[in-house]
Amino acid sequence: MTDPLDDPLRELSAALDVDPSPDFGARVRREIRQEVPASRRSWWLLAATAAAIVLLVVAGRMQPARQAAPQANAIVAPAEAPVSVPQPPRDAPAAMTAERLRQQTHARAVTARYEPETLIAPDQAIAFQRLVRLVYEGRIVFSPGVPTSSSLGPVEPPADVVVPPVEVKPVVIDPLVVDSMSNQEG
Amino acid sequence: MNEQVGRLAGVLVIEPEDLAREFEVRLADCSRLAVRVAYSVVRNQPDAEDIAQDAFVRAYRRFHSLRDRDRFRAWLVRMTWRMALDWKRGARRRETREDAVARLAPPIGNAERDAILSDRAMRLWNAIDVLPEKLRLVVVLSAIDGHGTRDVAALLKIPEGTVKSRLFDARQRLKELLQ
Repeated sequence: MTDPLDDPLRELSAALDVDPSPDFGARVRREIRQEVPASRRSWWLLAATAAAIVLLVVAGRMQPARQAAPQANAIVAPAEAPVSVPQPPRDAPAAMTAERLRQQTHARAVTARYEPETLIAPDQAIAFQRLVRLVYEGRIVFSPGVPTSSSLGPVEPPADVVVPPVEVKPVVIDPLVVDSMSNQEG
Repeated sequence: MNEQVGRLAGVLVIEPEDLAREFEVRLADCSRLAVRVAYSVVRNQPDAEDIAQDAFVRAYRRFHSLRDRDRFRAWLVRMTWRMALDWKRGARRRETREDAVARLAPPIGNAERDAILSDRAMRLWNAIDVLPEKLRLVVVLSAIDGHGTRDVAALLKIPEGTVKSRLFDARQRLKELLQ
């Protein structure tokens, strides 16, 4: 046996003289065979996850569009109205910081982007429409003191209109008093 | 023209059977190298084989980019070395825990371990462990399969002159450590 002092590399080479066991190759193959279905499974899992994410994104984008639909029975104006930045009231509490104001502005801007401005309150619009419908159906009768087209009877044609002649008098302008003015200047 | 297109298609379209066949060749070619590299770190054949096996499985996953023989060997050596070092660090942590338990019981198995690793080999391995990692890897690869400096340079992707200087430096240090 050589002394490691002579050549450590030769000694190391002898120490590393190990060979893989005969079933090493078979073990690697078996491990790879188990690995392949697992990788296929993970591929399908990845694909399913990606599809779910895409669906969520699409659903999230459709949600604001649904919210933007105008409310039933509300009379609304188009959404192009300019959004004014609200100014804090003079007596606003000190706790209302600039950050809160910024958030409120942003929220209003977002709301205005999706919801048109309402000119008549929805409940008032509903009440007015109900009134019109009930009158049309005859379920509401106005009081007798109020004249209606049926209670007034036949309408007589109006008498001839007599227009008196118009007299036009000439305009008379009084002469200016020059003397008094010149005296004041002098 | 058609012939060239056909050749190009042959390069681009790789059949799975071809890949499997090529991998079998690499497995037969590099098994001993991988096991020895792992053994140089863990000094335990079953663990070295486990590490080499994991390295081959990883190599199989990216075999598309490792079909070239030299590229495959270089990648496998570096991967096996790294995995063996990780394994050893984990083993040290395990040993620390086990030693804390063993202090309560009489030592068992030291005689057996001493029988396996002779005093000479122990001294050599201790000296190797003291070397910086760059020198250690060059020394180990030079001691495996009769690799020359050019082979080691190809495996580590470093200039041949660097391998020579590192090998010289490592030999000097080993001699000093073993005196």
